[in-house]
Amino acid sequence: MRPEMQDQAHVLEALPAYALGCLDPAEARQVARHVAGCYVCRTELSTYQTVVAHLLPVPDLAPPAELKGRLMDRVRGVSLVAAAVPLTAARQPPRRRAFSPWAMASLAVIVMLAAASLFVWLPFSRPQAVTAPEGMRAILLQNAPAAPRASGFVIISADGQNGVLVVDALPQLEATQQYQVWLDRDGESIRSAAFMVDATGYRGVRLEAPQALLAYAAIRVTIEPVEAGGDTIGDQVLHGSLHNP
Amino acid sequence: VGWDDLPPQALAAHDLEDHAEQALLGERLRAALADLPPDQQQALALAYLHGYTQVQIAELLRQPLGTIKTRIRTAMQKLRQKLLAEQPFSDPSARAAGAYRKEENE
Repeated sequence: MRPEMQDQAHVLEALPAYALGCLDPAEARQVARHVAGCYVCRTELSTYQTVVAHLLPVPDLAPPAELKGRLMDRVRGVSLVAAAVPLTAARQPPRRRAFSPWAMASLAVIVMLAAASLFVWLPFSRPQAVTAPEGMRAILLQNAPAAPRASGFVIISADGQNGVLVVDALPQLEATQQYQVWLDRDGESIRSAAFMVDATGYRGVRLEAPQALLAYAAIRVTIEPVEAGGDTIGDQVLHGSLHNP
Repeated sequence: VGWDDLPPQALAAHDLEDHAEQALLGERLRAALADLPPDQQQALALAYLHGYTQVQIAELLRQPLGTIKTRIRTAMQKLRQKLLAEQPFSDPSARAAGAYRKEENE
C-alpha cells in the first residue's frame, strides 16, 4: 500500500450511512473529506447513492440551503398575521381524488415550492399575498419564550386538507427530546407530527391529521420527551391560529 | 410514513425511456427492501424517512449503536447487491474494486 493511502484509510463501512444521510455531522464531514480525494470510496459511494435515489421517490421537503435562507429571511420580514392568508401560487398543484401518502407528500412538496417561490420573489413592499385561484394559505407562527429566535409557518392546500410546517432557528434538543406538533380543536389536542431539526434549527415536515387541517383551531409546536404519552405537552416554542379570517 | 406507503414507481427521470428504466429499477429495489428483516427495514425507515441519525436511532430503539450501524450497513449492502445485479454493465464498483486491488498491490 502506498504511504499516502496508509495515512488516509478508506471509509467503506461508513459509506452506506453517509449515503443515507444518517451519520453524525462530524463523521459525515470526515467521510466527505475522504471521499473528495479517494476514487475508490467515491465510486463505491455512487452505488449507494443510486440505491438511496431509488428507495424513496418522494422528493426531499427541504429546499436548497440558499433558497431556504432567502425563504426564511422573507418569512421573518413579513408582518405576522393572526390567521390564514390566501397565497398566490406560482404553480398549479395537481388535484387528486385520493389522499394517499404519496399524494400528500407530493402535494406538500408542491405547496412548499410554490410558497418558497412566492416568498422569494415577492417584494418587501408587498409582503401580503393576494388571493389566488388555488386559495392556498400561509400561516405565520408566533414564537414563545422557550425559542425566542425561532420562526415558522404552515402552508395549507386549497382544500384545507393537507399542509406542511416549515421551521427555522429552533433550539437543538437533547437526544431524549423531540419537537411535537399539536392540532387543537374543542379543547382537545391531537399529535400531528414529530420531528428533529438540523444544525441550523431548520426542518420541513408534513402535517397529518384525521380531518382537514382547517377543521382545527390552532397549531402548536412543543418540546416533548421522545417516548412521551399522548397527553404530554411540554414547553411551547411556536403557535398559531388556523382559523380563516 | 412507512415503506409500504411509498408509491409504486420512481418519478425522477426526464424522458419516457429513462423513466421506465428508473421506475423498474426502483420497483425491484423496493421489492428487495420488502425482503429485508423487519429490524433492518425499521432502521432504514428511521434514517431516511424520518431523518434520524444512527445515534438517535440507537437511542430511540434502545439498542447499541453498533447494532444500528450494522443493521443499516447490512441493509444497504443487500440493496446495493440488488442494484448491481440489475445493472451489471454499469457497475462502477467493479472499477473501484480494481483500483482498490491496484492500491493493495502497490
